[in-house]
Amino acid sequence: MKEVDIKHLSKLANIELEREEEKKLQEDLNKIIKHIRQIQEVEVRQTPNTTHLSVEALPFRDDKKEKPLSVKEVLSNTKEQYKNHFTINRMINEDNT
Amino acid sequence: MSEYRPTIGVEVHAQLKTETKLFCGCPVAFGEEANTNVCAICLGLPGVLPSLNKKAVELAIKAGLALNCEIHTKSIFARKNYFYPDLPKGYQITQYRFPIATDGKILVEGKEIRIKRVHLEEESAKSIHETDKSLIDYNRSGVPLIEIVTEPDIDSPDMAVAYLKTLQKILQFESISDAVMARAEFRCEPNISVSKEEGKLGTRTEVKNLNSFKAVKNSLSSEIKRQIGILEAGEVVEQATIHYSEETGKTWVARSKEKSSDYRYFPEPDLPPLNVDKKWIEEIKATLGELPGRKKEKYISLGLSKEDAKIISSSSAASSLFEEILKLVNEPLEVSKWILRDYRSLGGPDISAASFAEMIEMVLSGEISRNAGAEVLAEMTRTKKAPKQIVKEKNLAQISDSNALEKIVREVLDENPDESTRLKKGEKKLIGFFVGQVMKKTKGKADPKEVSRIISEYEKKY
Amino acid sequence: MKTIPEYQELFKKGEITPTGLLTNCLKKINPSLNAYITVTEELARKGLKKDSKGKLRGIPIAVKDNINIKGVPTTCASNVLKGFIPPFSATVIERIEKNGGIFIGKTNLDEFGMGSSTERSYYGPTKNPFDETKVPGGSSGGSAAAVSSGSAVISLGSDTGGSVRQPASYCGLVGLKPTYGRVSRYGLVAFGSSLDQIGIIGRNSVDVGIMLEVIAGYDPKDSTSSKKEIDDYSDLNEVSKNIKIGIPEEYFKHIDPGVHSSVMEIKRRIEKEGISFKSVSLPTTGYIIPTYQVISYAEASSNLARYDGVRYGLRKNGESFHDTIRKSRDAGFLPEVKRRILVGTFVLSSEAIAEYYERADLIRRLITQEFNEVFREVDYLLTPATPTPAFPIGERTDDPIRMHVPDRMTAGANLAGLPAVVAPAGMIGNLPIGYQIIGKPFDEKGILSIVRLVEKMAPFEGFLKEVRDE
Repeated sequence: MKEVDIKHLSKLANIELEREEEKKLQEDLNKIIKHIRQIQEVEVRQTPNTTHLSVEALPFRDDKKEKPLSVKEVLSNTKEQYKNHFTINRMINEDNT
Repeated sequence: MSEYRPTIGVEVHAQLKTETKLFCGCPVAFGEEANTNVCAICLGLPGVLPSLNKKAVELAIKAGLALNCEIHTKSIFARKNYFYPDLPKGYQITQYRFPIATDGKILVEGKEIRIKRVHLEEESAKSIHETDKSLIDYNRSGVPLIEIVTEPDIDSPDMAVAYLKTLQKILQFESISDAVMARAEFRCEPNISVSKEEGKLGTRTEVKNLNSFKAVKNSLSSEIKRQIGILEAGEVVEQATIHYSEETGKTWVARSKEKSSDYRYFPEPDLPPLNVDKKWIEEIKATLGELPGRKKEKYISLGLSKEDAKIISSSSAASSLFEEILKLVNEPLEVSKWILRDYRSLGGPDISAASFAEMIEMVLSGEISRNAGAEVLAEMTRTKKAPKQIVKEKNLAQISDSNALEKIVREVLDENPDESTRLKKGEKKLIGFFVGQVMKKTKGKADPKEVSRIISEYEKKY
Repeated sequence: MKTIPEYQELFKKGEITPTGLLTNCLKKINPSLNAYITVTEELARKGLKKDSKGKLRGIPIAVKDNINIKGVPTTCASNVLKGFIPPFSATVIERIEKNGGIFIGKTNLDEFGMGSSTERSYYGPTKNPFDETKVPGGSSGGSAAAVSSGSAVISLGSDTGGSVRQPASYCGLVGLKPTYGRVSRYGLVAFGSSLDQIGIIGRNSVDVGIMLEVIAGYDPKDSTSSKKEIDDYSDLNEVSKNIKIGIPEEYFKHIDPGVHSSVMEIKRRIEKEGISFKSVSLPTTGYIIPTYQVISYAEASSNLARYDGVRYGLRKNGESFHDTIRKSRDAGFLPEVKRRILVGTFVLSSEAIAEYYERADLIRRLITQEFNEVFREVDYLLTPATPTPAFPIGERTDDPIRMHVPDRMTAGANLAGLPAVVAPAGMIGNLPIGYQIIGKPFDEKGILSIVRLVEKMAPFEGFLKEVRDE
């Protein structure tokens, strides 16, 4: 089994890892993935992928307006704000979508 | 040497015309103060769950039907995982393997464009970029969208624009989306490749951030040139996202596709499969209006000219008024003239078909003259009064009583002895002159046909 | 030890007052156990002022700190949620408030519910009230320790792979994980959305039944909650003699002999009531843990993507916005959560999804089908709750595989969405252990009634050593 590419995964998961931490996690990940690989042994009949066990249908919501939060409440959990906006480092030229 | 042929497909994101967002009850509005239409759900706070807006589903089905798609009674929402500050949950709820509608087609200028899929998804937030930071406003976060994807059936930039215009018109006509490009309610992302070989596709690139039909056309033309240039130089086109500058008219590679994220799509566990029953689909089908193209053909078959049929069918207000009036006055040509000339010159006022029809009836029966009819219409628009009342108040009724008219004709003949003598000698072209004089004298209220008849008879007597 | 209806009776007679009970509970908060992250005395006193006649009037309730109470910090025992105060309450909280319940505090857990020991908390480990060198189980360890030590009459937890039932077993309590969809998840911070259910930890089946009656039922805010009518869970006195209980042989392998004999003693007592047992087999049981890991890690990797420091929680500013998000997440999560996010990211990645996530999903169906087939032969299953009693603090903290061992008894019910309850089976030394009853979908009343039957035969009050009522 080839080693998982922890650098790639940490980039996808957006977690910056320090060198030491990365080394330790690489070992852990190899162990965990070796463990979960067991599921390859199970014979499964191919059934349609739906992933929902529930037999009940998805309920709908009527297109009726509800009161939004106040701007104060919206911004209440961050200090990083400016003129009623959330703020972060300038996003241009950093396209990752 | 054979020519390079472009192959174009288009992805459109259109905002659905709902009161509230896709998964929460926050109002959908344009131009509100930042972060005023936001709740815990569209802000992605810990612990929230989505609940699906029925109207958005209805409109997505309607779009699927209007584009002649197969509507799936079961479709599945999926999570598309990627990080961006304008994406509050770190994933977008969309539909992936099992979209709500697939396999449609529409006719654009006589050519069939196949629609691959239509699916529901949520919008991300809006960011504003300042010099040192970006500001995020979550008002748009969670606004309902449909994505409409074509097969690569388009072979020129002009055709791409024609497709987009047709699609926009359909969405607007059916009240699925206002589809205003300037408000980002209708966004186009064409993809394009060029190839010389028949049946073989080149590597495609995707053009993003196009804000007008002109930009679509010019960017595609520029991108065709860019790709041909690369191939002619013996190099290969790389899969990439392309940006376009309206100022320079040039396209350039924004980022190469190979670095693109792995979106790790998987079924959204917070939303069971979306089941829509056949009965509901039928009900939605019944609300579909006729599409502009089909309407136009119908109007031509009623005897309208191609040009007139096109003008009326392209406006949903005009075409529905036209059809409503026809139910009361079955004179397509006559009604179309009123719509094309008077109704349009009044700026397409809000007028009831019944009143409009009543006015046309009065003209057709000779009760009022054509000119008086136009005056009645203008007055109806201003005052909302009934045509009959206006005719009475303004004394517009036509004089068609033969005795009264004969008297006036005699007067006019007396007043113009020279012409009267020439008429007696058989100079028939003077009939028109005398009709004009009578109309002048009656301020347009005389029935010109009747006047003409009386004068002709008078001429014959001699 | 009193049940909630008995407290209501005493309130009515005026023998004790809700204020007196609250004061008593507050006194029993033992800081060395570290059961609470936030004690909400003020909120509880405010709750008492409301004139309520509900089923839970004046009952002090502890709430796992991954369930939102408006205006009270929700930490999920994570640094990533530093300073976060939710502007809304979970549906279960609203329903409890309407029924007069009062909230005494938010309890400790493994970060985001990811663990089986309540050691992996940013706020330090919680200790087992029976033996402070042992873990209380997890991830709802704080909720179990709170009830076990008497500082709360009943508590809410959440159960993704056994997080309510396993601590109930280690702390000598009744722990219920309802059928998936029976209780609204709105306001519960998601870990594995297709597995998570809010559960209840109480001293006895009667209390758990009353709490279930309050919190169960359809919620339009949770599209996965069921529209099925709820039962009368406060009446648990009827158990038909015609029921049949299955003993799945796979659940009795590789377990502590003391656990084995205790569960067999429970079986013997139920048999004496004239109820019959049958040996059954669930062949895929051995794959429950890896299957559970793949699905729960995958969902967790997506559910925890929202913690980016932009709108709430910990923020570490970097050079670019990506840098800011990466740094905030790195500083916010403990190693186990990072491990699960990374493995979850891997099993969903384009190279691995077919072999891992999609395969696990198919095995999940197979496991569900096996349960369905067994439930054609029997009405309930009796199993141990955990393979051993509580283990020592520190023993498994850094072992990403061994920590999952207790899950093998419990995670099957999550994968199949079935209701399951754990209740005390006896003591091994100074430590309690439990048995588990798994039922058919929506048969919470049935499984709780069996627990009630056992309780009536042998009161297990002695387990709750710290509990003194008045």
